[in-house]
Amino acid sequence: MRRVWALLFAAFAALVVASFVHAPERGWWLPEGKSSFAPSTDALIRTILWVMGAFFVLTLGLLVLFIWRQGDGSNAARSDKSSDHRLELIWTVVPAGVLVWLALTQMDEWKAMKFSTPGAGEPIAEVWASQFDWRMRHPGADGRLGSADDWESPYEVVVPAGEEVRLRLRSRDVIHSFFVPAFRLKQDIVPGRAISVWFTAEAGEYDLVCAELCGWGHYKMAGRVRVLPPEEYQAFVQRQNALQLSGAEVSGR
Amino acid sequence: MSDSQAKPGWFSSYVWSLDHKTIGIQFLVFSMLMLVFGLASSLAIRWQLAWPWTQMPVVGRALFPETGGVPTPEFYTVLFTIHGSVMIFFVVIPLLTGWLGNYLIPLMIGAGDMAFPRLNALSFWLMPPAAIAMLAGFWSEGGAASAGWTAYPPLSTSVTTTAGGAGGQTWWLVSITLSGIASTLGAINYITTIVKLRAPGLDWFRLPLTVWALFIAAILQLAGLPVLTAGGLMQLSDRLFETQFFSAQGAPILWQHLFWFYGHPAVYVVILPAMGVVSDVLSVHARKGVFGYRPMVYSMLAIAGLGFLVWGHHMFVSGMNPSIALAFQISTTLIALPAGVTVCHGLATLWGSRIRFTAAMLFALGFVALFVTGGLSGLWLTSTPVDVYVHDTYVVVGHFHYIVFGGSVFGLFAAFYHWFPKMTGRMMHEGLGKLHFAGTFILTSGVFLLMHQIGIAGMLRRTADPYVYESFAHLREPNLLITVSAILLALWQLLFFVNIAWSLRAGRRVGANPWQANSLEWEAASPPGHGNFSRALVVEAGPYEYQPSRTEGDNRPQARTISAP
Amino acid sequence: MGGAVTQATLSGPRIEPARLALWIFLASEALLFAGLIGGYLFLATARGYAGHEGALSVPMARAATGLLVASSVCAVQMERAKARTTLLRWWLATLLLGVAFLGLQIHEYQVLLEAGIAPNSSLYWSGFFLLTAVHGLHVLVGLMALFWLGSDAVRDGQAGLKLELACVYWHFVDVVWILLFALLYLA
Repeated sequence: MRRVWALLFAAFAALVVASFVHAPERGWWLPEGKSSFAPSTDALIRTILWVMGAFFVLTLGLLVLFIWRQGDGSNAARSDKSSDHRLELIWTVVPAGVLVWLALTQMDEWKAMKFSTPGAGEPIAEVWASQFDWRMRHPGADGRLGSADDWESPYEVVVPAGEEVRLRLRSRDVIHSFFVPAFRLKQDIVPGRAISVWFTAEAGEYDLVCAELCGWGHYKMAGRVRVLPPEEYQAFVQRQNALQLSGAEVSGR
Repeated sequence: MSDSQAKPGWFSSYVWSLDHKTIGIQFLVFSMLMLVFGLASSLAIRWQLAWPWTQMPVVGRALFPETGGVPTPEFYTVLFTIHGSVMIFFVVIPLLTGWLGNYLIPLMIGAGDMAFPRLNALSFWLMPPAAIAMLAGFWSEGGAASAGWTAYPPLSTSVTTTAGGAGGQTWWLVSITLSGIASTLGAINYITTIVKLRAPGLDWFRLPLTVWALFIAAILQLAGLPVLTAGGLMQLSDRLFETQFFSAQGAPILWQHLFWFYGHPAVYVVILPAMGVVSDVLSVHARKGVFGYRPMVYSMLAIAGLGFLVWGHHMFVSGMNPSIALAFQISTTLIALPAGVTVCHGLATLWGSRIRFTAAMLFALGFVALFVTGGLSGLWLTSTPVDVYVHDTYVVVGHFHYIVFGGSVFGLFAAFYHWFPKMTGRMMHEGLGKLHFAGTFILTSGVFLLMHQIGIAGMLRRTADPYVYESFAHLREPNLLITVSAILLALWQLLFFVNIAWSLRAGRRVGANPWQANSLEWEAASPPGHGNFSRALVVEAGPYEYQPSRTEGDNRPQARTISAP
Repeated sequence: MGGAVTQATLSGPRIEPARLALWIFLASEALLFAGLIGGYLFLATARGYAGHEGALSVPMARAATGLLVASSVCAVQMERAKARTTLLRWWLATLLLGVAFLGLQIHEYQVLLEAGIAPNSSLYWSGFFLLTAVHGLHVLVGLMALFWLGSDAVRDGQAGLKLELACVYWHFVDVVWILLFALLYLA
């Protein structure tokens, strides 16, 4: 029987490894990264995956080996030994070293994400979340939020590509979360607070997802981030500003 | 009951019983009944994710007459709220502390009963009203609570932002508070009993690791629950008296701090006892002492201590100060160390052992494999930049189900197969037990493994229909696989219940010590009579003296063999 | 309580189980108040409080504090009482002072509510009402315990362990009040 059980545990280990090997082929893996955060976040995900993989294969390998060898009826050596300080030291110090290294390697990226929020001044837009939609408020011609020439657009926020974009997140009711999978960026939006996020993205259109449970319609609280090449973006903003000044209805696009 | 005294009546034997063993089994039966709700809601969640907005089989027409059996998005939010709350507060915590703590502590320390039998009965009898309060939400205006088991305000405190906010959410708070009081009373009892009622000679470092783990879990409950209760009172007052604690004028984040200050240690409340059980089961069925007993105790203490310093990792994207987030990242990374050390000790116990492949042993080995898997996938969540991406995705769901199902529940299965002969005087059917293990072990990964990959693909938890997003539309297929595995896993558990039913009637009768184990509970008759032990026990050895090199007489019971005059 | 102890020599330390259990319970109670007070302070730093702006009568609260402290002192005398009549006298004094404290608290609530101040008036008042209400509930529970166990003691003619433990709880409630008084009225 010991061989049957050893094989069952080996099959489990193989299943786990195989799932991680094949998932990317099937597209059940990281979506294409489109912001400046993506390469480093993805690299960190992979580094940690390799660390996990190494520990996993090592532990499961030993488990399978011991089940195979030590099963009742085998001729393996028996030992009463129930402590070994050198061994204990090794399995404390080595993982500790790996963990400290992991903790330290992440520091730089966290610093880049959080401690270097670009410039003061007005954000490109203010993102207002409420059950269950998004409204984006832009500063308009005077470049200041909260003045009469501000213009609003539902659902979609338009930003320039290739430069640092800062958005201010606000909620009208409950906690929501600003999540753009392609940017590897997520930030909760807390009522009563104004929280800023920033990113540098490539041109394209991306899903904006609410990532914090906000009520029955949480699943359909979809938005969009449209990233335009700088010239197109300038043209777009100027057109919108002018429309707002002329008192015309502002369309989504 | 082997008691020679007049038999107590039906009411005091089975209902208001003061016997710790009866109370333990009451917790067991109660939690298994609650499991029906937890399990049914999880299958309904899986149904919606595999076949969104289609008629739900069996229960659909009864639940949603107005839509012809198609679940509503409101009901989906109720489902995962009830699933999480019931499973945590009414299934795993009562099983791992209420059942194991009550049943095992007095027996394993050689005591006749708990220190305070009445308090003990009270702690159980607060649970049914708590459960009724949880379910009462379904009949209140607007329906049951639907703000998730984490109940983040202001969603949970506002009376208008969810349907359940009208009344169900208040019932939810009442329920959680009652179950918290029950757990607190239980914990006071466990600690006092372990400190005071150990048999002569049973030093702290002769306690089985199960007892150590239950002791540490009780401390965690006592330290964590009052803080949750404080937060609960604030929510209640926000809801009933319109106070401002968690509104936009107050600080919604404060609840997250209070909740996770308890909520994270709560994970250790359900994992440490399982870890203790698995250590004991590994030792008994591998005929070898636990490798490094003291380091194991210290590791569990370290996990518990650090457990109170890591709650902030649930809040990396909440807008908390990024420097504080870094501190929490470091403490969280550190807690992986003692957890990893316990796994190494489990493996080292097997080295040179003589493994008997009983169902209990297999579940203990399964615990090691699945706990390692879930523990390692937690590494992603310790990393602040990675967590920004994977927070609230299925990575989190997969990770904690490996820990709570693969860890805690496998530990519970191991405990059940191991101590069933003690509880009933009969063996369980081993063949059925092994079959139960094999299927459960593989199907567990069928359910929870792919959650990691779809989480890395960005799929969020708590969404009734992720496929409305272009980004997630291609994830139907893995979700289908998960749902099919979940249905099979649930059906596979019928083997377990069939086994219980069969074994209760026809299982082989056993004596006091069917596994040739050492700890004190095996000195008592199976099942133990009132007062547990028929002789005075004097302990003169630790619980882990086995000699794998001998095939017969390879164990040394903890208690002196000849009774004192 | 502790009826299950059948063995003469156990491994545990020499403390009565009930006393140990009470101290564990008090630790947990202390954490409940730590959670509430911690939350109150968190809000104070995150949002800032306007405070009570003179709506509370500090002299009256000082008098209430005096009542509760005096009640604690009487409780100590009650524990030490050797004769039934002295025990009875101190027991009644403890209870009356405790009831008087509660009376003042209720009076204060009435005054505030009449002045149009309610839990939803401001963040400070949210904290004030919740903290004092939870504490008041503890006073009530303490009074009930003292009443019950004290009446047993009066019947027996001496204070036993149970009454002594009720007094420990009473002192705890007292200490919490002094903290709340400093935090809510003076700070």
